[in-house]
Amino acid sequence: MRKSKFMKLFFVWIAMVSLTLTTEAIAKEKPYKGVTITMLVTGHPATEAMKSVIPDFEKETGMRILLDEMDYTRLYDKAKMELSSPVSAYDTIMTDGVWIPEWAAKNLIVPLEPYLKDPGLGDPTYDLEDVLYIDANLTYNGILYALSMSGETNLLFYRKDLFEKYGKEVPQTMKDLMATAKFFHERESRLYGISLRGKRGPEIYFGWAMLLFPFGGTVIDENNQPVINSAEAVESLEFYVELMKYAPLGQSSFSYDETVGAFIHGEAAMFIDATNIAYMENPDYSRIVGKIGWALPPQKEGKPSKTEACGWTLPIPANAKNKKAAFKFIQWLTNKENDKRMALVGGMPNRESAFMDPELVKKYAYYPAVLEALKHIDPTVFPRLPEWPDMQEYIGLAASEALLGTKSPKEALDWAQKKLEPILAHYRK
Amino acid sequence: MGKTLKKLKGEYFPYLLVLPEVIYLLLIIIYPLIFSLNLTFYKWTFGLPFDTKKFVWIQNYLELFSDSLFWTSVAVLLKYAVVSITLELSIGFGVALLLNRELRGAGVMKVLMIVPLTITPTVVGLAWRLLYNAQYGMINYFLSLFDIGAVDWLGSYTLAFFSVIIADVWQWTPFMILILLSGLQALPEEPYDAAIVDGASSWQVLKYLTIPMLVPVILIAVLIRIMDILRLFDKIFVLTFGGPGTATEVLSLYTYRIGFVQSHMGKAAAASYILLFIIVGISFIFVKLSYKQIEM
Repeated sequence: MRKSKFMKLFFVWIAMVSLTLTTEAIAKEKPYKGVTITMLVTGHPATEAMKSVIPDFEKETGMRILLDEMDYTRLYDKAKMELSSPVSAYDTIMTDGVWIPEWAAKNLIVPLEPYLKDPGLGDPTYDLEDVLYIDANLTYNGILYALSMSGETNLLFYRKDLFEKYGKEVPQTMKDLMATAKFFHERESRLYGISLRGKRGPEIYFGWAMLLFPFGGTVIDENNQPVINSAEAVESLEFYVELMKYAPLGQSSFSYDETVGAFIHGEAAMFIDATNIAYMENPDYSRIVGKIGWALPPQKEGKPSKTEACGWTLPIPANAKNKKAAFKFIQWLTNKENDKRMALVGGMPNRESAFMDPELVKKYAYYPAVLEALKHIDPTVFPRLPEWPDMQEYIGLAASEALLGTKSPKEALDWAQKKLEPILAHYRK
Repeated sequence: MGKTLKKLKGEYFPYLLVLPEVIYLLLIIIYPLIFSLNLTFYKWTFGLPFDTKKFVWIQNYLELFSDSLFWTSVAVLLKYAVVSITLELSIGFGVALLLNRELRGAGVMKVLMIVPLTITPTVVGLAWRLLYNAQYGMINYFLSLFDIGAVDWLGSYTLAFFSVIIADVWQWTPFMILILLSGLQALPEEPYDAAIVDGASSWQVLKYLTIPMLVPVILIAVLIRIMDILRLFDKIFVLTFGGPGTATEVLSLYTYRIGFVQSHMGKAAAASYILLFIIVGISFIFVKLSYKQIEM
């Protein structure tokens, strides 16, 4: 009787000691146990892919990840409001790469190099050189401000079945593109030539920029002065307006959703846009699974190929509460292993190693094409300037008016040039 | 001591009672009003620390007045308000007259009419964006059943404006109906009895009795709609984002662009103040008018 009581006490003591020891061990291994990371996100295949790996991170570190999901249209101002308040409610924000320069220039987000080099925090196997999109999406003035969550470039997508049926070649030049769009437009009822974005604002700029840069135009020159009304730019906008005659009705109000919608519902023969292919090949949404072909976007005769790079990135707000813990999370999320894991469930990879990975290439036959398009990136398609959101408003309006026909492309772009000049005047030497 | 307490109770006690309300008003309404009025005289880039702002007198206002986009947005806003309120009032008045009769199912109808009013404008915008979609929208589908070709509801310059108005009319006509209906039901019955005895036709009853007696209610309903419609934002934001071109660019959307996207907070505050003056000005006229009516 006595002995058993002693034994009981002994066991309790053992249990307590081991518990203290383990909690100490946990504290060493899991320094951020119990910390909650709040993240502002928007609906995207990458967000869904991220959700599938987050439980592992929570198990591994004892941290909690809280996602606040918001409509894309409201994301920018919501984020900006949080960043300008004394303490941000979010520890990291799903950020369109084009917003990084503005936020970095205003010191609203922090440089990530020190965190990456922090011996207690930085992952030595992270391999930043493996990450694509760095210049185009993650930096401002050469300083790293974000990690890449979902990188994208653009390709020409076309309906393999239709091209075969009518014996058409995939267009290589802009002239071919126009002719092919016209050809399919006149062939079948409810089939249009091409689908491109046209809604006023950032959307129409995206649609037109696919042509502007291959035509040899740019938004700014090397001294950061606007050149939006150059002869090349005007020519490309005229081409865009002409090409949109072969686009589905309503295209001048179409954002990405409706533009990709027209293509995957089988209403357009061609589509030039972001490489969000896992979505287009998903039978839950798409009627043309297995019929999608892809190629490098057409070139302007005698001019080099140009593609854009855009995508979702993860910066850390300067006014965030748990900066180190947040860094630990985004570093983990974007490491080699998870880049591949998320790609397997529908995300877009951000690393060259993932694009070369045999298992992934076997599953996604378009990876080599994306990698090829990435070689032709012009990082100035979305100029890395803090003024860009401001500038884009005017460019987006000018292009929209040209598309509507209320102004000629030349008039519209002259107007935009006049609006951009004062915005960029302070760069003038 | 007793005297002061009594005095306090007698003279100051009422003030003490309204104090919490006054503090609340000062904090929530008066302070932001003064703060933003002050801001209209500064250049401040949204996102930079607040002490980086620069005093510029009335330059923000001058910049606005010389911006053709600003005037476009004011014109679109006023056009929008006039057209949609006219439609809402005329449809609303007709339906209210109908519902004022002994009608089977009027109760159910009244309940159903509240539904659009309770939906968030953003959701209304999204729903109508799907309905209007030229390719797979419901509206074009039903039109195609009658062999009417696809209509570009949101993509054409003239139609986009009316498409936004139709969505607004759909949501807010029930509001007109309900207010006018309650006005109709509160009208005295004696004049009508007298009119019937005198052998007035129903058109004469409407023209000489119902409408004149209902004018104060109509004015109030229109006033509430005007104040609401002039700050319209969410529906257009979702439906067209001001486009195509400047077809649906209203003043609040213009203000949003200037402030949140282009970061010119002082200029945006100035634009808001101009909007406030437009609203107050129009409301003032209507309040004057309705007082005149009541005095008559």
